[in-house]
Amino acid sequence: MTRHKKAATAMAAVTLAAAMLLSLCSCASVSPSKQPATASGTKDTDGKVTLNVINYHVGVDYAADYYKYLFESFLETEAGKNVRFNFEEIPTTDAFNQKIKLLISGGTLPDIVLNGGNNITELAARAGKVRDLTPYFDADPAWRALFDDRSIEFNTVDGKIYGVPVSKEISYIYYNKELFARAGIEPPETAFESWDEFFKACETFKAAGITPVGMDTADSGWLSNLWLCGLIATQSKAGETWMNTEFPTNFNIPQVQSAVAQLQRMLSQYTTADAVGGRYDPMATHFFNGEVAMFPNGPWMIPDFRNTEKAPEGFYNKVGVMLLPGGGMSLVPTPGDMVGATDPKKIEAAVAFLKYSTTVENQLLALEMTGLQPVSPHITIPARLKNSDPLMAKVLDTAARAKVTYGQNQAYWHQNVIDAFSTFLPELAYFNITPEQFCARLTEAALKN
Amino acid sequence: MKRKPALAYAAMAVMALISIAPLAWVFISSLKSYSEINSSAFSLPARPRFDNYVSAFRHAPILRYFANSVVIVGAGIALTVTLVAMSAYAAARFRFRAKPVIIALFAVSLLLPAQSITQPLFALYTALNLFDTKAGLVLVYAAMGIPIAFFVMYGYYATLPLALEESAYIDGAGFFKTFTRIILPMAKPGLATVVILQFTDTWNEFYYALMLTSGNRARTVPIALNYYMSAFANNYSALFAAVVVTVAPTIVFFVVMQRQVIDGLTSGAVKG
Repeated sequence: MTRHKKAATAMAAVTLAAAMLLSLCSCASVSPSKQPATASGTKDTDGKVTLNVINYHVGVDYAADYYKYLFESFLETEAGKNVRFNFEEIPTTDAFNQKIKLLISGGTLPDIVLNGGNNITELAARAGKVRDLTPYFDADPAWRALFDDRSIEFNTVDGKIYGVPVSKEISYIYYNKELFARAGIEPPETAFESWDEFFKACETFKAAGITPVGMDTADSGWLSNLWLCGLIATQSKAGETWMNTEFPTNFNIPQVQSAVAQLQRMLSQYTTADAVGGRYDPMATHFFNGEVAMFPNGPWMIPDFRNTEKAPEGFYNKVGVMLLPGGGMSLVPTPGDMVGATDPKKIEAAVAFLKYSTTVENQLLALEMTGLQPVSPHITIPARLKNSDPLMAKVLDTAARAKVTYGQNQAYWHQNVIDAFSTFLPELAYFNITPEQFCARLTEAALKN
Repeated sequence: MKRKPALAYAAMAVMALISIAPLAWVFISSLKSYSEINSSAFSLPARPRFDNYVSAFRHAPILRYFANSVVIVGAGIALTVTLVAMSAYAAARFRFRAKPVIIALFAVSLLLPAQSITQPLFALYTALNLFDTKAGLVLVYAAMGIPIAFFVMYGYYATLPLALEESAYIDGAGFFKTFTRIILPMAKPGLATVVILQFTDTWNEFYYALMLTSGNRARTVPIALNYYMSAFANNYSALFAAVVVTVAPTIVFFVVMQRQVIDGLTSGAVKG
């Protein structure tokens, strides 16, 4: 038995050590001694600068084709001829943001940091992981002039510009012209004058057996949040000011409470039966199928109206555009792309790419290919776009007539408040909680930040 | 021959339905358009759209990722089973001073959430050149699976009668012969449980597969399926087609090999 004991001891020692090493190696805390694959290097042997990019515009992303073009065409420019890209693909912005946050907290960011939102600009800037681009804007006044102050301010942390915005985000209401005609309602030229007029139209739709509005609650409750933002901002100057405030922490104010009460009314009376608990896609399909009269969203939806995989043939021509009642439209600057490179040559090349991505030509191309609204306020829309995409032209024309512009919660609210909004919407819809209680829960979430 | 009661057939039919229905639903959905999927989850397609499969291949390198998954998950399972089969046996059968501490350490490692150890793991993998390698994911998946697998096998070995090993020793078998010829065959059901647990945990694992890789050479199927998802641009038709493409080989493998798989799972159970 001694022989057996020795063998057993040896086996126990070896296998237990191996198993424990494996199971505990993940707990080991070590200082990074080498840089990860995203690290900046210097010029390659052939004299070209390699820029590392993590690209989330891949797969079925609405801007995948545009960004493919952008990267490829940059290499053909004078500034890009000595550049090559090394891509890491991460499909979906959620996954992208997870990875970027990991790199911010302990790794090295790619040379060009595309911005997937989620407060990444501030995190990266405060961690010292991205470069201050202010000197580049100062050195090129023509480039700086492409952006309005609000867009630059949105990408500024502690007085330094870190992000180069490539677009603006707007949202308004699409409506189905046929359903308006069937209900005997004349669609307003720009917007319903007031929410009272809007709700009167909803009653008329209901009487005609037509569902007035598209809403949802799952994920972030995107459609419902667009309605709520409009309800808050257009009811008074105080509401407008509140909706233009970043990261609010007090939702227990009359403007928000009364808007939430109206939202509760819409969820319970004027939308589809599957809206509570529903995601964006089935709700969009209701609109495509002519089952819902009004649907809030942004210009990125326009290509879908012509996509016969999603909408019936000819649906594009049935769609009209209006602002929210009172002439409201959400208009938010977007978080801009950043430079994570540390090597001077790479920084120069990365900035050159960011400049290229914001040329007037590329802003217009982005508008055509993806619906991304130009970041520059005074770009003239060419006639060919008006002919090829009259609905987009109508959007641009209508947007210019907005009386009230305001922020939008996915850009301006803390992430946990957006989550709480989606979580408690079904409770609100089923009258398990009052508008006041709903606002109290959002406040509670906001104060945790 | 005794006839099986109708109730038994009914129960088997229900079980078969429960097993087959999700697969059938995924297959039918893979032939529907975006509009059909979102209009009615259970309707049949107006016409089958096989071009969804073309779309699935166009958007993502699914075959490459599938091959990576097979290698990484397979190697991870092999490593886990090999280490746990031996370490749990040693812990279950022999008394030594550090045993309670070792078992406690295994238990503690079960409590660690993946997100909390990502940062040190990322740094460690970068330093050891394991970042973006199949070996790196194999190691982390084995590390993730070993604690629970250890307790499954520890409990299973405890149920085996000690008299069998004593008989083997009396008959002249050495330690390793006893372990490999007597214990391991009897432990097959426990090991099969470990394999199944490890397979389901790692085949669907997304977080580490994303964080510890940067390219196509080590990425796995769950990442490929993300290529069909995007804000306002989900392509469910292609997504379902990709699911069919990645699930079908495992089903075909099981159908072809079912006799061997079932024999393997049950043979040890009757030897005791």
